[in-house]
Amino acid sequence: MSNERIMRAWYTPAEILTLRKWLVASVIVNILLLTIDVLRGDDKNLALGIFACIILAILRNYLPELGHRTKRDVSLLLSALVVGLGIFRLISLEINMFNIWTQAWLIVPGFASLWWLSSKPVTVWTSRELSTSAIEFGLMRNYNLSKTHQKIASHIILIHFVIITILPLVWIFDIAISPGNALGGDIGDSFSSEHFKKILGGESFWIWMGNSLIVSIGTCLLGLVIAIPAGYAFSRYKFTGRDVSMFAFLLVQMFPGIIILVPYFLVMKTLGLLNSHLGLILAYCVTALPLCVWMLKGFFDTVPRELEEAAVLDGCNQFQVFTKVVLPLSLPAVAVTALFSFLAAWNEFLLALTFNTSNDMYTLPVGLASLISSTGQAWGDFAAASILVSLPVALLFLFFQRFLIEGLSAGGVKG
Amino acid sequence: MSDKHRRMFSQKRIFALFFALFFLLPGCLGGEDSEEKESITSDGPLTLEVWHTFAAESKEEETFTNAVRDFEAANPNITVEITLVPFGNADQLFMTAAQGGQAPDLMRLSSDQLGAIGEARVDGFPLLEDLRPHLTPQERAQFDQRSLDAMRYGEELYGIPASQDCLSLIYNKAIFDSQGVEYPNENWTEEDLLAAAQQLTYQDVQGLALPIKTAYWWFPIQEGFGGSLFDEQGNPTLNSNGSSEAMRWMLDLELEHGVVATGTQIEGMKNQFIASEAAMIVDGPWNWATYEASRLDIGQTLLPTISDSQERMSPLVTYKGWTVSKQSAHKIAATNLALWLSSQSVQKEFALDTYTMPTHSELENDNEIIEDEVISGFLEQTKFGTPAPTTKAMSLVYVPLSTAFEQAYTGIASTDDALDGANNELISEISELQIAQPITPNIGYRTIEIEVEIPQASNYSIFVDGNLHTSLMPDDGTGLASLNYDSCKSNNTELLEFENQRLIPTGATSFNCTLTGMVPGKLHTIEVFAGEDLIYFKQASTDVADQRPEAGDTSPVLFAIGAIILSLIALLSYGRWRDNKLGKTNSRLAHLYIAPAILALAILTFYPVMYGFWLSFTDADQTHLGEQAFIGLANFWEVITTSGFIRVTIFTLIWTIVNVSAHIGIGLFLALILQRSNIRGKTAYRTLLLLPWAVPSYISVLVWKGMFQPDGLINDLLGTDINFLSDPTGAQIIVILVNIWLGVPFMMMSISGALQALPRDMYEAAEIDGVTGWGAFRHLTLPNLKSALVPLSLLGFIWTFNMFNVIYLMTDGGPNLYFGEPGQTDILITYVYDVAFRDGAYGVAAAWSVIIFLMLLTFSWNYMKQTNATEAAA
Repeated sequence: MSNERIMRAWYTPAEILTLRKWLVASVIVNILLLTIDVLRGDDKNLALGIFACIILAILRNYLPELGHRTKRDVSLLLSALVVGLGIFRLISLEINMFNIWTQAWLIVPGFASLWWLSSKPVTVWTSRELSTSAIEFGLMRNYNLSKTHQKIASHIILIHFVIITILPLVWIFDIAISPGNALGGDIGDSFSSEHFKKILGGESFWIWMGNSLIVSIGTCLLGLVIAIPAGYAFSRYKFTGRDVSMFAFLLVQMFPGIIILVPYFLVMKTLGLLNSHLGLILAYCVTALPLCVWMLKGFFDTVPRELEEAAVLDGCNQFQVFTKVVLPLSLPAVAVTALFSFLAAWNEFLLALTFNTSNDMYTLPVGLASLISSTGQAWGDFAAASILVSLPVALLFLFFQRFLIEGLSAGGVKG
Repeated sequence: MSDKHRRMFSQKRIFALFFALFFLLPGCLGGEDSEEKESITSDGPLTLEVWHTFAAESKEEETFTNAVRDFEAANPNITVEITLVPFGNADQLFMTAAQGGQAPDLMRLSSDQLGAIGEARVDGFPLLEDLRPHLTPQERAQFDQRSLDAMRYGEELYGIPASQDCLSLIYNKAIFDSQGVEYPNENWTEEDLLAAAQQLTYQDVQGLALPIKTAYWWFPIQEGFGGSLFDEQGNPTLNSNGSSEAMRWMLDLELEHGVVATGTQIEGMKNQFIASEAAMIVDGPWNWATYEASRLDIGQTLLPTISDSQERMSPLVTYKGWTVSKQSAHKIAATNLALWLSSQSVQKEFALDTYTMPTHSELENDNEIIEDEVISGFLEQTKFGTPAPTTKAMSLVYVPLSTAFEQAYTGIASTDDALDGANNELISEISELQIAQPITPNIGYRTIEIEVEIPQASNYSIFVDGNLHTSLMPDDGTGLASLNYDSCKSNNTELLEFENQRLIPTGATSFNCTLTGMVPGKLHTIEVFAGEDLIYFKQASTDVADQRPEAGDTSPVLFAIGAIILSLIALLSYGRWRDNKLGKTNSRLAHLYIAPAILALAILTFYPVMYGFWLSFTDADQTHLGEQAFIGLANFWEVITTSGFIRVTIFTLIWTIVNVSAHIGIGLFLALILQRSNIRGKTAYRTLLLLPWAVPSYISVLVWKGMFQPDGLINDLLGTDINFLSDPTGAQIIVILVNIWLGVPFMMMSISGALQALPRDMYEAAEIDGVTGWGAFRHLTLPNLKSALVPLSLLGFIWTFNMFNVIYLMTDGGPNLYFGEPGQTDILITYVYDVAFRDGAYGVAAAWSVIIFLMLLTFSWNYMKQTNATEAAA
């Protein structure tokens, strides 16, 4: 008997559980969206929006409970009101994608609760006492449904973030494929490949690309070669001067770099590293080192000591322990640091410009900047070049993700 | 036993390394001593390095390269290395290279840059060569006198003019036709302009495109209303009669009449005109080709006259010219190349191919130039223009004026008060200016003195090697005071001159001239003719050699680096020895493991940072670099008493904390979603979300800036017309948002990596115990992520604190609402940049940097102690 009561108290249809979360999210988003009405100075819609937020909040706290038929009816009414408010606000505005999206944040949650609250499982749950077998079935159903709901929620969240993320990039793309050299115009109004042809047809782009590849790959490799032993030492050993050296890596990043460009230039000149790939590789390694060393140290910390000790017992020497046990387990970190050093070199501008006084040594960012003249930007060429610069990196992202996922299967110690 | 052996062996090894480095380093690094000596006779093979700022792959670059190749063909012993320097960084790069002894021989500079560069000294030398002794009067006479004068800073001539620029009125014929308005003409007054603009403002079209808050566009109007930037003595008169009216008139174009689109800036103005959304634009010839390429049918006419003053609007004319570096080892060849690049034929090619306005006098009468409506139209406009004063003060006017415009635009102050404020600010800035040591001329270099006895004042011609050098004629009362390009005296008084001829006063019995343009070591034949008669003959040469700064001595740097390396190796060896003694045998190799990383770091960065510290205690300033003196804590006092210091520090903290929290919060959130749920398209989502990291931040930040403009995407979506970036709070929020956008991908990626390392079975165990969702996150994920989150947040804090790009590109610290203070979106680092490169006060900038360093040091140290970040595992 008591068991049954517990089960009954335990069971809430997945729809209700999901609504509890989603409605909170939609209240937050709608409050954020009120800024738009404030910016537009649209007082009527602002008032309606505030009202809708309040209704949503009430709805969230007034969702039906076990055996409360009236509560369900009231919340049905509230959801209908939310949908109505959304539609009313929408028709008072100009109908475009953006406005439909903003009002969808009222209409869709309202409609979802309307739909789910009137669905059979919820109706039954609110109106009568369920049998044990029905509850068991319901719990089973909940398990599957909540997974689906979670997936939908993930997609919605990710799509929102992706849109914000790529919005400016879409614009860059549009500039690159539009004829002329203006920074503006409507998206997708005309097409021309002139900018890509011009950039790819020029000899210099390939020189820049070659230099960037050499320097970035060099930085990536050299950076790993010197950061991995250091990270390992910091993680595993307590030696004299350990804390100070770790802090030293941070120290040099704290001094604003642009002020010390001249002495830096002198150092490079003294070492004979001006106008050379090696010079830039070294400089970028040093820039990337602090993060690489600290990240790797943090990762090596999470690799259990027991594994290494076991390997030693199995007859591995220290080098083998490291390459066969520690390194494979830390692949994700190695991938992240490699990517970081690569990009640190790929996107860096100021040092590449200062340490190279020959156009044959320019890297892509400096090359991009040299597309700008004193009299104005050739935005189309510039955007096309930026896209060409980003493409290899995007491919690299695709490639490196493998390591992030492979790391997963390698993780874990038993016992 | 064997352990002891190994230890001894490795100690030996370290010793060996120590000594090897000690001896090898200076030897292999100091091998660059073969200094080029100035070749007296310029016949030997030599290489000239030229920096230019034409855009890559542009028509200008092509024309320029062809001209250089022609020069090489004509001078087979000379090789020219061309380097394209990005325009925005050219000055700064030149300064850096000059301090490092690597300045190019030749560089293209604008006359308004000379004000800043002219006062700079490195090791007591100016950066540029005074070209007066290099040019003969005949070579000078080729150029429009105004353009030549514009390339002077003080007495010195720093460049050979190659082109000129100014604003004029350009209009879109199609829009005028469609509204049946007559095209603008040179008889227009400002009232006609306004009336037409009002008529032509309809639907999406604005009557006029003009960046109403930009000083450069205000100058012509100011002149038209009767004002001027400086008086005869060079004192600022930004608030002179008519200036305030001019500013009011300009702002009212948007605020009162609405004929200019809200918040138009330079880039936006161009776009409006290209998109046929503006009927008229005030712009220079440099954009003409872009407008034509956009298939616009356009015309050009003179800027209108102001009806009250009856003065025509007079745009500022700036000149670009070729300058020779003081460090150049081949100044004669470099000057020849400069003359070649400014020659009639090259200027003509530039004019006809790229709409670059020439400065060569002959080209004014050239038929092809006259027939080219665009070039001749703009050349006509330059005649009504005002050459930009080549003074330090001129390079300072822009900043106070931009504040005055913001004040008047936002209504904080009336135009009168705003301009009064700007004028006072400018006066105080000028009074605080450091004045460089005057330059001591190298008397006799490239000059030969002759003294000629003459029977009477008459026409004389001096020929050098058979070519006319200087002409003299009797004084007829038309003469003007000498412009001091060269010297011809009689009775110890400088002769007057008229149109490149020297005037000999009646009764003079001799004159002595300093002949310029002579080649050291070469025997010149000098003849003076009176009419047809040879009255003087001399073969002479000068052996005065060029004086140039020693190419930066790098041995102190080498010494410093050597000392750093040695002391580090000593420290590491000591650490290793001590650990051995304490019996920490398991950390045997630790010091060897960290040695490469520490050494790389130390070799490259310790010296610069120490140098930065030292600089903060000196009076280092653009006017005497390399000769700075210790002045104690004065710079720090100046930093702390800067008005707005507290405000900037607070905004820097807000900026940093909000950004880092958002980066980590959003990054963690996205990483968790992507990690946990088994959804389709994970890889696609992740790649798309990482993209902002792949695109060079330079362009994405500028695109964001464009999106927040009044005619940008954000306003289009909202259906509003808001000028976000001119509102202080709005601008602050937006720069933060953009930086969040930029920084999330990296954090997401790093945290994703860290999440993969978390043992899976831990979660399984937790799930069995009923710990899921928030609880699992709070008690399992977060604590286990600590080892990644601590360094990420710490480094994120340091990077964001010193993040320069976003603010510099989005707002450049603006809006600047108060004189002499940092702007509303300035953070410490962007302000330091201004102090260093705009004001040239390197010592003060270094003091700011030290303060930034100390702030970050305090924070990091405490943070590390709080989080035990350095602790080793188990």
